[in-house]
Amino acid sequence: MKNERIIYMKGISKSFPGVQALDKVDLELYKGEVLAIVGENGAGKSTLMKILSGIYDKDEGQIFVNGDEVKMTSPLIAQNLGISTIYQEFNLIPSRNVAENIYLGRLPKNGVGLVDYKMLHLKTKEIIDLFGLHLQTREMVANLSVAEQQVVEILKALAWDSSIIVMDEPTSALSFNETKKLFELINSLCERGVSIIYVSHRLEEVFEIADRIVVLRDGKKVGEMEVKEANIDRIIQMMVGREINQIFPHRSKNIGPVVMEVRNLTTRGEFYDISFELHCGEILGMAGLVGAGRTEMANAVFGVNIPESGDIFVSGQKVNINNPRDALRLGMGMVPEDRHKAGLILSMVIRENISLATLDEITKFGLINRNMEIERATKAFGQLDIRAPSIETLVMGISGGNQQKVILARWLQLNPKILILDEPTRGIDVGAKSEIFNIVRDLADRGVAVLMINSELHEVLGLSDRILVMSNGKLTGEFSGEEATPEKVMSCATMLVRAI
Amino acid sequence: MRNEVNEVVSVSILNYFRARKSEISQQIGILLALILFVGTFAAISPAFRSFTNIRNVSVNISFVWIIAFVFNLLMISGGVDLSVGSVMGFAACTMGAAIVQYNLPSYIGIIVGLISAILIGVVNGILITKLKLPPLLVTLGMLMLVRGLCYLVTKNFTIQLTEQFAGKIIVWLGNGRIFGIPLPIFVAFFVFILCFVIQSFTAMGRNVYAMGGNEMTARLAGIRVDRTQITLYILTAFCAGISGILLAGLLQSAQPIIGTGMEFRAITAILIGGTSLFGGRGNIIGTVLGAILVGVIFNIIVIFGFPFFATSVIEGSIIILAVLLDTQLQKRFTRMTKRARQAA
Amino acid sequence: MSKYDTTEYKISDKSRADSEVLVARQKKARIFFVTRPMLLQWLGLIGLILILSAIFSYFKPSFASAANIQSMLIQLSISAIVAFGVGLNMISGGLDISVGSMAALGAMLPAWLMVNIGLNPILAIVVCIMAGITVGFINGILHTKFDVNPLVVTLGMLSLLRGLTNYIGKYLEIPIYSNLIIGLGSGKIGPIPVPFIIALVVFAAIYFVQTRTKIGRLIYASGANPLSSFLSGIRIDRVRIGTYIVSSVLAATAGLILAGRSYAAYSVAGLGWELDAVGAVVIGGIALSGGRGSVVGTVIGVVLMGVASNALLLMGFQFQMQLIIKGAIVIIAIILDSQIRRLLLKRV
Repeated sequence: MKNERIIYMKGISKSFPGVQALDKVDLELYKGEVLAIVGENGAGKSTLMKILSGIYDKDEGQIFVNGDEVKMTSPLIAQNLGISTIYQEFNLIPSRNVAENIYLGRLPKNGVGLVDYKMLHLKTKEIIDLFGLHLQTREMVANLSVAEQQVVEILKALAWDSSIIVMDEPTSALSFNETKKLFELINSLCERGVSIIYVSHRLEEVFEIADRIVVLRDGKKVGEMEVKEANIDRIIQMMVGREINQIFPHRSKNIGPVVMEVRNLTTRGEFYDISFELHCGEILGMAGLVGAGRTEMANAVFGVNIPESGDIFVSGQKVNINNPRDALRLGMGMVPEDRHKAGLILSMVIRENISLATLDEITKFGLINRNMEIERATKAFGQLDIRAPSIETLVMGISGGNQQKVILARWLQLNPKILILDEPTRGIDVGAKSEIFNIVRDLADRGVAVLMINSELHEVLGLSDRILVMSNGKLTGEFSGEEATPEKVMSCATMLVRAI
Repeated sequence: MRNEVNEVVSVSILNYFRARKSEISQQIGILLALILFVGTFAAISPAFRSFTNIRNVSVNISFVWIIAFVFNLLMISGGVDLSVGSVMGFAACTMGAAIVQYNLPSYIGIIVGLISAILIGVVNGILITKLKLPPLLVTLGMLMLVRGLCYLVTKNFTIQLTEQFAGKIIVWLGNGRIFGIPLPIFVAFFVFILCFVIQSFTAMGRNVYAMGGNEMTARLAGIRVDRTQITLYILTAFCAGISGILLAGLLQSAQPIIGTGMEFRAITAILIGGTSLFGGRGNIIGTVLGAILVGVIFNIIVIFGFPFFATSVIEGSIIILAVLLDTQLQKRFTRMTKRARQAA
Repeated sequence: MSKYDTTEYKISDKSRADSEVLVARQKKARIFFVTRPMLLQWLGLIGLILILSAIFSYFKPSFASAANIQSMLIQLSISAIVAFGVGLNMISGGLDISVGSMAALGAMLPAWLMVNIGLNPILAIVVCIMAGITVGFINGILHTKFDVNPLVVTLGMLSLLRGLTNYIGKYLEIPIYSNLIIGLGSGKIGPIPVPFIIALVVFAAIYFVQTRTKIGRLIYASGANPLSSFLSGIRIDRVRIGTYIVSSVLAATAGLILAGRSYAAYSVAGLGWELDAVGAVVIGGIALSGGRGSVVGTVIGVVLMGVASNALLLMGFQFQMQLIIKGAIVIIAIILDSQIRRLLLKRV
């Protein structure tokens, strides 16, 4: 039985500087169905949804809602057309109660123009009961559990008379039971004619709840089928299968002794029971989906946040790392995920950025030895082949790849034993990526232990000597460089592991 | 396990009070402190509990109330206006100048004063919402600028506004009584009713809380954040103007220093009353109590002959303490929402 | 039917090459001024000072008299000492508007001690500095460890310190009899007033720190990007507390120098100094958000604010009118500062 088609996105393309996020993608949504959109990080799922909800402007293509073409110029237009989006970061006012959040901005008024509280709570109760839920209308949202907050968000969408609800990773913070309840809610919504777009990495869930599934890869639609005709392996293959044009340097020739050991590292809500060893001379790749907890774990190791429990051993000795300074003293360095906000000082020049972590070494009696600083910077400049007019160039003005090299140069001044790289190739063009790979490989060959967090599957596979996979805060897989395949890694990354 | 417990508790009646617990407990705390304070000193000092004193204190407090009630709303919405004291003086001085120097009739003078106050409010509102300048800095600059304007307008003189110069109405504004209750208290009462209604019963009031709580969410829900904030800035300045005019009537003169320090007193009252500097939390009842507390402290200092400096020291310390507490509470608030996420 | 008509303009190869050269040259010019953003601003300000001075001297010849310049010099020196501290603190990411009240207390406290318990003048100076250290430390801790908005912290402190000053001085003044301290304010070494020498020394010290020392680099880094600095192992909290201490100590010292010049510590001393200091600092190119600027610019800013104040005074404007004008200047400076920075960042 074919229902009516309520959304048709035709030939949508969108590019950002340096990357084609979407390439002529077609999407159809039918009334009363649950459509799942799956794909790796960067495949274009959230970009597509943001275009649908009016946050981004498309470069090409058309959007039809109920047969009429629309220009989605702002989120309010999408809202008024009945399209609501529920993000992972909830859009609620924590200090207000359930009823006020659900009817935010649209409080019912009485004859005099004042708020009709009776009506408000009545309508709220109605909508809560309609779906057989249990919520107090007067409860302050901040006091609710995540699952309950999510329900409030859904009810908010319904109160706006939304006929289309987009859910972005809805179950990432839910327990098993709560997910079941959510699915029950989704089913009853569909019975009433609401259509759901379900964006998720969790393939097992998708198979349980969705009617149809669309697979995106590198901005293109590579697959679309009814769920009953699909199987997980086929989907994973579509998600990851691609021609790899990247050439990677060799694997390690010489893996040394264990230089760092992490045992049972836990911070509730972020990562659980993480244990692994890191050897000199190896590149240990941390694979996983965004949100798996890898950055949080790396931050704990580097002293940015102190873990709730667990131990870290460096060269066999137990250590307490309470801040990055402690980590530095132990010979660790970290290249953070966001190089603009957390890595570089944009208003300073290359020379100053390079010497930032090793100022003590070039300081005598409080004065900075300019000549030494210039010498070191110039050496690093040449070693890493940083493309810029000179070491006096503002880092603000050089390309992403070169900026990354500057940060690497900073840590190299320390002669680190351990180097943590968080998404080192994000936002960098292909040519620069190769250079970074070679630099990293070279470092490892000289004995540095490298922990590399990377969400680009083929990069992790190509570069790492060993691969750890994290999913939902837990370690779900470990492979050697040779035995790992995209499918194996992806299936560990999407494995449903519940937080306890 | 946690989820089952959550479900059971969800249904219980305790939840109703849980929902308002944080707001109510703070106000109960202030009320208790107030009762303690007032009770002790009333017992000790006959001067304190004399009828004249109580009346004077109440009048002084009402000047703060008139400004603080709307200021409270502004702060809940996420804004702040440090120039209220100067606006108070400005309104008084322009009124005085209009009546005495330009020989305009008294009621026109009052209108001039009110319009001057509104103008400052408009400027503040536009600079902050349209030009997106930081409110703390803008209104700080305004504080100084407008204070300077006060001196300019009065040419550094004190303008006498006694009955023979300014007419009966001005004097009546500050000193008149209705049913034996001084006029300023009446005005404060009206402003209270107005703000209470806005806060609790109008959509605008609810929107104010929403804006302060999460501006982006409020905007996405279609709430006109900019428009509401400009309105609040104008209203705050307007009330400051009213307060200034009434004070000039009470003093029977318009002096350029009128209103100095008033912003501190208003902010202290509001902060003590539980409103957060960050916005999104707060209640007018708290402001009522907070202003009483501040006024009583001030009065006690005067009665017991403590040197005047004590006010600045106490005000400064209270503000620092209140902001400290507020910052910690805000952190706990964001942690609460975060913990809710982790609880699953 | 499209509403917009898109005509393709044919650009000749030569003009395309020309425009590319032009764009490149403009980019170079922009980058030149971005790497030395101060130069443009400073040149403009110095020009403004010269023009204003010329105009004022024309209308009021007394402006350019030796006596007036002499007294302006001393006043500027004292303001400069305060501004240097505020500027350094601002570069590290802090904000200190309690300096005026600190200056008052920094004079009142030693004066009281000298008069009432006969404290040795040298120890009195030590007390002044200790007071500065204590206040600066408190400001710093509240900002860094307790995350309180520095504007609010120092605003409260402003009130508190003024109250303390009034308490000690009973709203009047306490005379200073010590020749040492009077010498600080009114003395001369050769033809040069002591305050000027002190200001020069402070300037040199800060310039040195700012350009050549490790601490200077840490101060800039902590202000420009505290997160990156933290991740590179820098203790930004300590750096900031340090600059708060410097700011308060310099303010206290300036207050003491002023008291030496006036032969008494006045309760009303230092009123409005925070306005002068912040104005001078921002006009001189130090960004409110930190990480940018130089003490050299502060000097120019101080001179501008000082010349303007002096001219206003000579023209007969009262203190209060000066407040208006200076308040307006500061607001405009803040607006321009943020707008210009937004523009620069967009282009590069």
